[in-house]
Amino acid sequence: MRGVVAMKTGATLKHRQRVKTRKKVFLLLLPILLFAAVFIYYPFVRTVVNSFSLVNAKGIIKGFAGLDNYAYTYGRKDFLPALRHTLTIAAVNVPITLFITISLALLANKKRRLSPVYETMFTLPMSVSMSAACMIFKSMFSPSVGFINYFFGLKLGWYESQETALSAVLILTIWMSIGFDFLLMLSALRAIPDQIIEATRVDGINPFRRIFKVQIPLISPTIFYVLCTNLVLAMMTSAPMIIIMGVSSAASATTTLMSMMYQSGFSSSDYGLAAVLSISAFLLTLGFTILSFVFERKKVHYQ
Amino acid sequence: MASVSLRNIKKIYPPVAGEKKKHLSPSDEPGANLEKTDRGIVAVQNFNIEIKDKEFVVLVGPSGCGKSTTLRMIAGLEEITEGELYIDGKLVNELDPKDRDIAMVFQNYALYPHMTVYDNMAFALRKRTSSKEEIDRKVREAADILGITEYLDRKPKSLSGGQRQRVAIGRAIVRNPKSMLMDEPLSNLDAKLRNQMRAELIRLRKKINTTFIYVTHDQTEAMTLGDRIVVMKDGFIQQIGTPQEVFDKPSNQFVAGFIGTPQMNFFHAVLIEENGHFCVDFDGFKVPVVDEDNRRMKANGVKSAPIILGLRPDSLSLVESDQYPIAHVGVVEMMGTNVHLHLEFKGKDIILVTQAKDENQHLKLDYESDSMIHFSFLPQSMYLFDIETGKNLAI
Repeated sequence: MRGVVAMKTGATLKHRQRVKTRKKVFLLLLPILLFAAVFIYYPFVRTVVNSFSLVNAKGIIKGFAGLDNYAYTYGRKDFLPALRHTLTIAAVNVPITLFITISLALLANKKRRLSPVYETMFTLPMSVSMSAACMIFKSMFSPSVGFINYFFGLKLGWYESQETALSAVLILTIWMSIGFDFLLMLSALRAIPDQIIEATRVDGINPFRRIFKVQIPLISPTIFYVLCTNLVLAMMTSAPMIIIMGVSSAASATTTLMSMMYQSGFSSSDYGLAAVLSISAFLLTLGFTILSFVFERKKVHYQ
Repeated sequence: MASVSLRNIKKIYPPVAGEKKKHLSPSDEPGANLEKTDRGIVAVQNFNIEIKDKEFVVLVGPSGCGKSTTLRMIAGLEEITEGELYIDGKLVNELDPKDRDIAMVFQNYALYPHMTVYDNMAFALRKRTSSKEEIDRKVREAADILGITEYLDRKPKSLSGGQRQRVAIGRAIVRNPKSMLMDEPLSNLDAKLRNQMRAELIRLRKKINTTFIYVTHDQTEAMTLGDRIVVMKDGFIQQIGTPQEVFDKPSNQFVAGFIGTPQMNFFHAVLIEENGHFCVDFDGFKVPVVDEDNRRMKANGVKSAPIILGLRPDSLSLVESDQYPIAHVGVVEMMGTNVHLHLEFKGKDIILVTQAKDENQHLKLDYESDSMIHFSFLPQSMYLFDIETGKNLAI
């Protein structure tokens, strides 16, 4: 009898303790939960609500609009170009960035005396903020006094011209992503055990096969990570359009969903339009991310 | 199917730029006794050996002795600083590993983790313009020899250590290399598996019949696997010989202590020449040197001097009579067939190995710790070493 009682109290003690730990866990999580609620979940829900509502210029909901906002947005003649630019940036940016960063990482992989020097050089873009980079590239791309036209002996209009504006933006966004992605690729390559590379040497595997059959498969988790994050970043590109292209006559050649949203939300205070654009961009990104997870299942090897 | 000769091989590792001086006492890190020159640390020097076709040679020594470096130089993974390396009579110093027709098994297996066992073994074959059928035949043949056929579709991570090691060996033998290099292939396995794989290696060797060069720090592996053993220390070869030679006639005190387990006991003693015959003064007991050794020592010009006397633990025997040296029993280790007695003699720890049972299979129970015992040994079991150079005086 006494044993049963002891066991019971033991169980309630345990239970009490578990409740206590749970409370503690919740308390510790509270700050980030509050933060997320205020800055992540509320804006998201509000955007969804806005997209179905009639919103005035002060951002106050004046009534239910059904799908009117969507019909209006997709009917605008600048929507399709913006969508096309967004997709182009993602389609060009992601593969080129992957190619450049993997190549640079392969070149820098071996530890040499000067390794720290070019490792630093390759990662330097990381230390520049997007807006600063935009200002620097704006002056470098300047058709009249810019360094790039001068150095390569070109006479291109860059951001002043309809034909070249998007290329200028692409060069900038690719340059921006190189630093961090190179760092990720390099650390992934260096994490491959030396003996595996030595085994390929003894086995007589040529460098081409070693790269494509051994090294790249072994860093595939990192490649996948870079692919996903780059895809999202590329789809969300807006800063160059606003900072570089803002007042340019060729601005319409680079409008993306995100820059269009910025213009409509902050300049024109058309919150319905802005909400629909952000939701469209969100769904598009979500779709691509899901697609890349399909790729992950087939091609990514986790150790 | 190749002979391998190393002539005057030397390896110097250039000093690493910017490396901080470590504040360890010098003896703490492996390789601390290596010679240092202006050009760097000399990891291996004066390495000379002619390895015959189909011979099994084991490089053995404590960590940092240069055995792995030597193997990696033979493989072509490490540059040879000086000297010449010939495979089948051809100078290969400058040749890439792939052109040396070697295969190597690494300590941590170095399998390609993203490939199946089959692909791991077939990978190196695929470039050699061999047909799919031929590759398949070779892979299955090797898998059959090693008993891994059922795992061919698996990835390395789902295999046990022993199975992975088999795959690594399989990857090496499918290519039918002239020589097989193995760098501590059994070190990552647990003791039981290691014994099992050791036996399998002996069987495997009979089947594939090629030149083996094997690196280990484990003297048991060296003794059981090698046709010849190369004992190394601090970058120098200490002795090359068959396992029996190295055990019976160690060239110096280091080899004597390294080969054989438990380790040989060493004592300070004095060598005295009386009427043209040497005897050893061991703690006041005079033991005559056997005739054969006596003759060799004469030929070597050995003089009366303090020496180091080496006695293997199993050549010490317990005696009842108090005429013999006396020692204090510290720890008694019952090993089943044998008993290891850790004795304290004149402030030195020594080990004595004796049978656990007498002729009638009765346990002898008279080994109690903290008691005193007398021990003796036969003159022919003595090893005599120079007190300064450690050289064996009788070879």
